[in-house]
Amino acid sequence: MADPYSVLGVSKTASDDDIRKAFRKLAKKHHPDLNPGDKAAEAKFKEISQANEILSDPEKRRRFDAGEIDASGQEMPPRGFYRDQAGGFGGSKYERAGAHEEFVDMGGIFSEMFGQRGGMGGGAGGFSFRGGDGEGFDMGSLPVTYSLRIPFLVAARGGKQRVNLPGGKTLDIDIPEGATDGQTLRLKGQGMPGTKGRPPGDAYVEIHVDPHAFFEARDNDIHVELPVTPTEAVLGGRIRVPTVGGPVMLNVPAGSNTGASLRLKGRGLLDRKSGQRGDQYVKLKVVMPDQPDPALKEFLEKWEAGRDYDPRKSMEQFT
Amino acid sequence: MTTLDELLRAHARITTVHVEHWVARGLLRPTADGEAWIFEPVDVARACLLADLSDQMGFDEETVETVVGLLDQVHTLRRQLQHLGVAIGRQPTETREAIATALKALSER
Repeated sequence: MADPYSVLGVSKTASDDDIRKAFRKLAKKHHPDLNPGDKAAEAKFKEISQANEILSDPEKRRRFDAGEIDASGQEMPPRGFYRDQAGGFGGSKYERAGAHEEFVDMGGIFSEMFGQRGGMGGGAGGFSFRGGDGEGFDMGSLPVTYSLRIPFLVAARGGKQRVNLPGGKTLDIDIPEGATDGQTLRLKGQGMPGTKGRPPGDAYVEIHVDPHAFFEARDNDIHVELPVTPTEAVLGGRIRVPTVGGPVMLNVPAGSNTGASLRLKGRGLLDRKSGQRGDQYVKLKVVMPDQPDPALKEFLEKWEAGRDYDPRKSMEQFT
Repeated sequence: MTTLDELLRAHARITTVHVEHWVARGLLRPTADGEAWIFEPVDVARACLLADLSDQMGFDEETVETVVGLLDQVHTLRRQLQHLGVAIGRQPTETREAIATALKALSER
């Protein structure tokens, strides 16, 4: 990546205020949502955001100046922009009625759009418009956005998910392992069919992960409450524990209690960014049999120490 | 679909105060689910844009409203143009070529 000072057009000695002003000025010019037709704006905006990320933070700026970090180390997470949504199915929500009235004057709009700055793109094969200095948007190949609910385990393990598209078409979508709620997948060429000779646009699938009956994901870790018998809790032992990758054996130490938390390292979800896997935390819950066994009842009746034991003792100081 | 809590958790720079303010001014229109708000993807993206405009770019309230109002018009027009393009694309070749020729003549005028 280019030198952040030259990206923002400021000197090495620029004050924080200079940097903020320079960034604001460039952000207003290059923010993708203020340039809806210009694909290149996104790359430019990312570059200035990265530069600002370093220079607006005194510590990062000091480390950059000292040569401890370089500009490329400031990778920004990918983010969507409003323009990507506004053109999709949901976008009509914020449409402005005023613009419809103007629309009857089509000649006016076309000469506005294509008269001074650009020309008609495409030939006899298709129908594409070019707007201004941006990349042309192709009227024949429309992107389509779908929203897809997938079971928790499909997201955790990855796999194929069949979807029925409007129009009777079915599509098997490859869900990557560790897919997260809100993640968007791009399916090349699966959008609306192009008009005459034009390839279809891309389809975007926004994933919504359904919750699981007992696995709970927090970041990349899985938390699960695991019922154990009093015998297992008191005497300990090896028990089978479900994980997203299949059952594993877990050693329950003798004398464990409800609330004890045990960790299964590397049995959580795959973090797609780092390639690391989270852990599974197992919280034990001692569960009595539905029907008390006569022998257990008999034992507890004779169990002297059990009468002195008061698990609510610590609550007294708060009441 | 996103709840207010999920929106705030996913985007640390957005606060409840922001969202309430935007909704009160009609800049953001989440779906009401009883007492709660539900944010569609378009609402989430719009909230991020509003945060960019007010915090990152330092536009004041009135300017944000003007900018967003103009952007809404741009997107409305783009959508109408897209529809028009699709409608024209469905016409027979002759008709499409006639329209292309007429447009070219207008643009060279």
